[in-house]
Amino acid sequence: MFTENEILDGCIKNNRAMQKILYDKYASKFYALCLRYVHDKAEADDILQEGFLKIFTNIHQFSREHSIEAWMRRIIVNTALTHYKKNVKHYYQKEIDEVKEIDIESYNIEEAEFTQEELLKIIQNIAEGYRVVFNLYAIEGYKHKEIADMLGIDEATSKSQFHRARKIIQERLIEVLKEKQS
Amino acid sequence: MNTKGTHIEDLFQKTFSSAETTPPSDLWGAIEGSLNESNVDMLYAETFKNAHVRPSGTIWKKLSYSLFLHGFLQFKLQTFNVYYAAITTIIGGVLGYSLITEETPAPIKIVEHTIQEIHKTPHSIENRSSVFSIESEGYSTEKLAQMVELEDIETQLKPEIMRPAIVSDKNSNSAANELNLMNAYFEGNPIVCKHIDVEYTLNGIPSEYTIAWEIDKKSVGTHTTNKNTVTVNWSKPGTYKVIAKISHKNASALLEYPVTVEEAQIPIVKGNATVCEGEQNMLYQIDEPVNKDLRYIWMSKYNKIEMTGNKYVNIDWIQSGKDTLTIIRIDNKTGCKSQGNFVVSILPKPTIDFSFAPLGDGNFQFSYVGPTQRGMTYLWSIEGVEYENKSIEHVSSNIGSSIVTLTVTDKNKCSNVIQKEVPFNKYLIQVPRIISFDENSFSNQGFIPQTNTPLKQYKIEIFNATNEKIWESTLLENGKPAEPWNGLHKGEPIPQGRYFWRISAIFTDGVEWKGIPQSNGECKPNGILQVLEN
Repeated sequence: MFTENEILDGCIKNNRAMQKILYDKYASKFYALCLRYVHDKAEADDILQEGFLKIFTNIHQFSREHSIEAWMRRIIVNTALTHYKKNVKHYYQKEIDEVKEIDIESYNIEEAEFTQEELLKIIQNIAEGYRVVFNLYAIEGYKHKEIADMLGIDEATSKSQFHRARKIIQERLIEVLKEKQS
Repeated sequence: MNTKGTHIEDLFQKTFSSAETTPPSDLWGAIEGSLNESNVDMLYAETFKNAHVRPSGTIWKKLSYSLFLHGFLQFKLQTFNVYYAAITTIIGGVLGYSLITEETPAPIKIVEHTIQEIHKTPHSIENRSSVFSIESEGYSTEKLAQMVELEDIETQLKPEIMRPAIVSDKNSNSAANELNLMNAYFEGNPIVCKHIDVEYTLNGIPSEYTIAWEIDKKSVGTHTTNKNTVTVNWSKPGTYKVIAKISHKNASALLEYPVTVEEAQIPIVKGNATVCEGEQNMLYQIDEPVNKDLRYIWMSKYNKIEMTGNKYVNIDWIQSGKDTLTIIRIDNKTGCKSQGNFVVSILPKPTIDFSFAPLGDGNFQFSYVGPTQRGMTYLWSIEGVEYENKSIEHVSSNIGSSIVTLTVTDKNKCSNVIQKEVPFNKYLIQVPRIISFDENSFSNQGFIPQTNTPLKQYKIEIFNATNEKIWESTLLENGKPAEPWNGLHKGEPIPQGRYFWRISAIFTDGVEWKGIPQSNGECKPNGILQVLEN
């Protein structure tokens, strides 16, 4: 077994074996992350590959007093955001259409159980802008101000997109529950 | 029951914070391949950074890549592969420039313009004077910088003719006037630079006379003589004399030629050391008085210089990063050549884009899209109206598309401008959302959609809450809906409440109306009409 420092030293020296160890250790975790930001696996493959290339070419800049996982995670998230920004065509910041009202009272989401696949499917199938904001806020734990800066949008937009995303996800969760119950 | 957001966030947080999904097994192979390629690229750039001769990038990379794959080479930039680099450079050298292929640049032309023929004497320092002009035809300036070396540049020294000062030789018993020195003259440069070879020739001396040259050895690096010519390389600045001792029989005299030796001056550049990417025609100059004997060759590693060859240049800062301006200063009077450098930081301009979304009623929202930094300012120009917010709303009543200009300036005062033609109000049908059929109300003209582009086909239908069609119209006049609905159904005023409309329409150019734009980017050709109390 190698220590984290040995692995990092090896990666800085471009040692392929050490790079592979680092990759093996974190690839599954980051692949799950990538999948949440995209529609399909092919896109997630691209992001993971690009993200790891950035990690290996910039690893000499990593300061050891911080967590390597957090540093790498940030790079992967940024890579996913770059992909998102490339694809994004329009931001719509006003909610003007009527939201479909669902009888949420009759479904108890809190006590229901959902598999990772079910949740992933929901998150992959909401509109891209909502998905990104929801991921960043609810899962990565960024603040709306930070999200606004990362995406180049207003803080208010980040908030409204998040609330809208949450509402849509809530509806989808209920739909999944309905299917399960029937 | 709590179905508020916090639970949903918790649910996703818990599920995904430690989620793992195995990536495809071949992904590491792809990453490894990319790493090898990027390392080969890096190595190539590093190895041949300053090389005059480079092997073809393609060949070098193919060779290196296959060696890496077979484990023969390691990626250790510090220690690596001096031998390998040397060998490939030598191979490259042997094979010659023909291998420098990858981005075959347009050939550089170093054109010599003959200005004038000067003294046709056999001993002139330069029997031809020339001026370099460097014409770059799409040639990378980096390459150019490699090609133009200080040593390679010829100077334009013009020898001058001067009558010598004749002084008596104190060591001689005979007077100088016993010698015939009436026709004697020197040819050479009275002001020269140190460390260059300068010839001094003494002419007009009867051939039976002997000439012995006397040069102060302390001030001279080397000197060689050849009867009536001496070649001197002065080693330090100062004022000196070139002395020729002329002897014939018992008479002798000293002929003196005064010389001032100068030192090459490093050119000092005046201009902005911090600029923005995209700035054009920025003026840079050498900080010294204009002097017709001076010329300058300006070179940039990455950016474009109008190579005027003189004291002033205009530079277009095309590429961000650090660039080093190299200036070679050539003094044609003294032969002094020197080189100065000036480092310029080219700050990147902000990357910008904007999005737009119709909000209805001719109102459009425009939003800056791009990384946001503190201190950024925004300037929108839309149909002659200016706005200064990051996200703005603009009401347009024009038909057709308009050019929208967004200028973003960051805290470094670097700007970027984007212009897009926005068809924001073409193919628009505006439908009232709320109406009162009261004769005194604002909408006493009735319910009628408006369009800004003529229609060739149109149908509107109104339904009540029980989905019963209560009115329809297909009438157009000059391409516009012509028949308003007056709120009557079967001759009776309809009650207040929610009604539904549906429109299908085709514009005269054949474009089908998609509907009212919604926040999710889709368009809906139907909607709700709220009828207020009559």
